[in-house]
Amino acid sequence: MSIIASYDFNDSTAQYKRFASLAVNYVDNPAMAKAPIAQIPLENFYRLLEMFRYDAFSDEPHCGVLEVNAHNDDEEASSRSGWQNQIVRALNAAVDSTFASKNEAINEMEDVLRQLVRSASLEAPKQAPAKQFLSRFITALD
Amino acid sequence: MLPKQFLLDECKNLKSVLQETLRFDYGLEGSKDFYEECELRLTFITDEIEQAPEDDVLNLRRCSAQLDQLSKLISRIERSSISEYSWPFVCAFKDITQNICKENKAISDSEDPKIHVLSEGGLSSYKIYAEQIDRIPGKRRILTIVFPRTLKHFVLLHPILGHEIGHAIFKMTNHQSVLASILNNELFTPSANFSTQDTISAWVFSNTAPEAVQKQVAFLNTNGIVEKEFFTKYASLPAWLEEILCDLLGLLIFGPSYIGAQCNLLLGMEPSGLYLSKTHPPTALRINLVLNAAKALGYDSIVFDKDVAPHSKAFWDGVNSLIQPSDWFNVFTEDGIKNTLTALQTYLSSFEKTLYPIHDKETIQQLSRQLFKLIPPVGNCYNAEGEPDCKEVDFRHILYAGWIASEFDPQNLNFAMVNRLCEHGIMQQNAISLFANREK
Repeated sequence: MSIIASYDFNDSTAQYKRFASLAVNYVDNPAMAKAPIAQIPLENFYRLLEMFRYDAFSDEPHCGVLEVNAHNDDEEASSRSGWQNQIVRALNAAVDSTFASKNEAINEMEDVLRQLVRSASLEAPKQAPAKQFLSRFITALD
Repeated sequence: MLPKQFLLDECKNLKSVLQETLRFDYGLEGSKDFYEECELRLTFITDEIEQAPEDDVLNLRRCSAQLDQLSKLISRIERSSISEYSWPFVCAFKDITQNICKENKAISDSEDPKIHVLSEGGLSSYKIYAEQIDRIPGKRRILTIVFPRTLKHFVLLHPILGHEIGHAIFKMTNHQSVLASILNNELFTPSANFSTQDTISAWVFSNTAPEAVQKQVAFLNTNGIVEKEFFTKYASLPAWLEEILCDLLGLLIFGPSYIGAQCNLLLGMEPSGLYLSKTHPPTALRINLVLNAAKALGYDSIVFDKDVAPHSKAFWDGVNSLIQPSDWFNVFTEDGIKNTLTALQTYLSSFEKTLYPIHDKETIQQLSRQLFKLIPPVGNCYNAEGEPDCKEVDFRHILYAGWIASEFDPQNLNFAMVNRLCEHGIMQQNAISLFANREK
């Protein structure tokens, strides 16, 4: 038996809130995105936008070709059901507050993330909407 | 020591482990990429802990969990020893799955995941861990392929990884909605028993179910789970449906050898085929489905010459004898299966090398004959002038020939020997293909 109860560390919501918060810093100071660790929040937020684009949030662990001695995996899978609900609500709130449509929001925000990751720069007109989108996302997760 | 300092010390410990382990080479491609990815993740987590105030217990807990996961990942990579798995098979497997597993990233429009391989005990250890992307503070996705340690050389059973890579493919955002919609529209909706959650529950609880299933249903009832609650209190419907999808993907990626692998492994682990699992539909249903699908694909309809035909027939007769005759197991319509396969084939064909290249009679015959003579099956023979004639042969055709040869003379050419010959064939074919391509 483990030395401590396996608490549920399903902090997806807190995780994405943190990524968004770091992304705001990079939008404010694009040159900071040169740092290798900047790629982690930026790439992960990009992944989230891709999940949002395709409504593809199935990310449960599974337990091999046949369920044999895999009850822990079962329990983990069932505890993760709906992990994305609050995050999707926050993304929708951010879309509504900033862009005309979900597609426009995803395309624009992905472009922002690409510019930051690839060249550590950001076109000036993209800065304000990007910051508004991310900030609204963060407050919607509170 | 306060928790923050304790975690920062653990970061240092992990850094030291990282230096000790991943600076050595693991696998054929070395460990540089893994080292860089793990180091980046560790730097990020360390930075996050340093920035968190001492009393920010929520963030420290999140960082602690991330550190824990990274430590487990590094240990898994450290244990990945090339001596414990069939590397010729892994190389070939990576080659056919690389394109479909590319991820759309901010840094580039398509990036390969990193794949590492290890072995574990138990037949049920065949698995591909795809990291859950909402939990991993990582730049690059890492897939871990796990083989059963005892089956190191049993390449004829490894096509079951076609099912496992199906899960990894389904978790990729760009594939998930397309694949789900194909399954829903073509396979589930036309099925009287599988069109909705309620109809599936009714099918499970039906009085036409085999006695063994009815006994499990009675047991569920005694535990307060009634028909309407089967998928809300006991089983996971999305997990069941994903398993069905992955069986079909495995079949379409590996071809006939997938049938041999799935039938033998699944029934070897669960001989009744009737267990009502929380995460998987009954094995017998899955076996009926893949065998009916193989028939629809015409895999068993190619007529070989007199040397090979009896053994090919023995292989197909053997697996087809596993079909459960009761209608209860045949929940999908013939047209539904055909239409699903066509749609999935069309989708998979847009990714180079992923779809099983339908075999031609001559290639399978040549490979089978080599095996009958205890020669590793490869695309190499001598022409009329006595010169070596090298040609490309897909490793999935070698595996199909292996299954046919396993029926040739089990006394003198047993299953383990066929597997070793096929493994050698796959390895040698790699060199032959390089040579054949160089000539072009």
